[in-house]
Amino acid sequence: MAQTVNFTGAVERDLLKRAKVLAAKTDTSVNALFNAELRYLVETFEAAEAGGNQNFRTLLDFSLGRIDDVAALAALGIDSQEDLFLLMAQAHLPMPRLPEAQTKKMINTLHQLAS
Amino acid sequence: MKVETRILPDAGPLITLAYADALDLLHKPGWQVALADMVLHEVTRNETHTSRKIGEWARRRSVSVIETGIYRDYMAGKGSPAQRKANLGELAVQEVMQGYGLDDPPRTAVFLFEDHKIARASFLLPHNCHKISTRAFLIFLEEKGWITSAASVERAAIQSGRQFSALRFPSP
Repeated sequence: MAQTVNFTGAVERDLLKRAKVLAAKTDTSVNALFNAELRYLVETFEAAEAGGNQNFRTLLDFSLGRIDDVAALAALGIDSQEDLFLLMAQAHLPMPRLPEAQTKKMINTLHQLAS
Repeated sequence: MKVETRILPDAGPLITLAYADALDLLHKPGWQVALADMVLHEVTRNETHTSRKIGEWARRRSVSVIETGIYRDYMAGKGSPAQRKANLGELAVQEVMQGYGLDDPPRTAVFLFEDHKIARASFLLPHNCHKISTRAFLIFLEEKGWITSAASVERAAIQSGRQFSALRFPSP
């Protein structure tokens, strides 16, 4: 059995809450879910690199906000936002997200407009 | 006098909501829903998993379509091999925004984009225009009690996208 180590990280409160619900529903632990997803990410990335395919790296860079959608579309050789959305879904990578504070500000704007 | 509010989604939010089968959520706040002509063309010109759904929704809900010079020029040059296609919907949305800046009396416009486009676009925004992400819009609907969960709509879109993803992974 592979040796395990502990490490410290940070995660969004809501995401952790949802992960706990998911773990309970599927009779597993958050730790097991985290390990499975991290393994998927690392192995997919390594397999793509070994095959000389940079597309997963492009999608990962897009997911992490390192490149914008224009650069991602150009690197992947596609011209449709829908194809980009589908590739991200297929690669199990989340679409890039704005910081929570910025999202909160936009939500407040909508509440003001609705009042 | 109450200022009229319009909501104008870009292609990304339309695609996400179409995959979640939730396009009607755009009407929940009771604001007029409108589309830039180039955006509507962009999401319906090719047969995709969502093109028909978006086209039918726009017709069924009588969504206003706003004419733009970008779309007019695009149609005039259609068929030309050198014709540019990328980001024209977004440029048309910018054109609509600029028009709102000159509106008299002023109207309020909510422009919906996906997070990554808000992060990228840095043009000057007229004071009566607001750039809002799909996520922020969905959380707003949840806080208003109009939907039970914003996260579940996003999740439905992703799950549906994975189902439909028989898409070939582009070659290196």
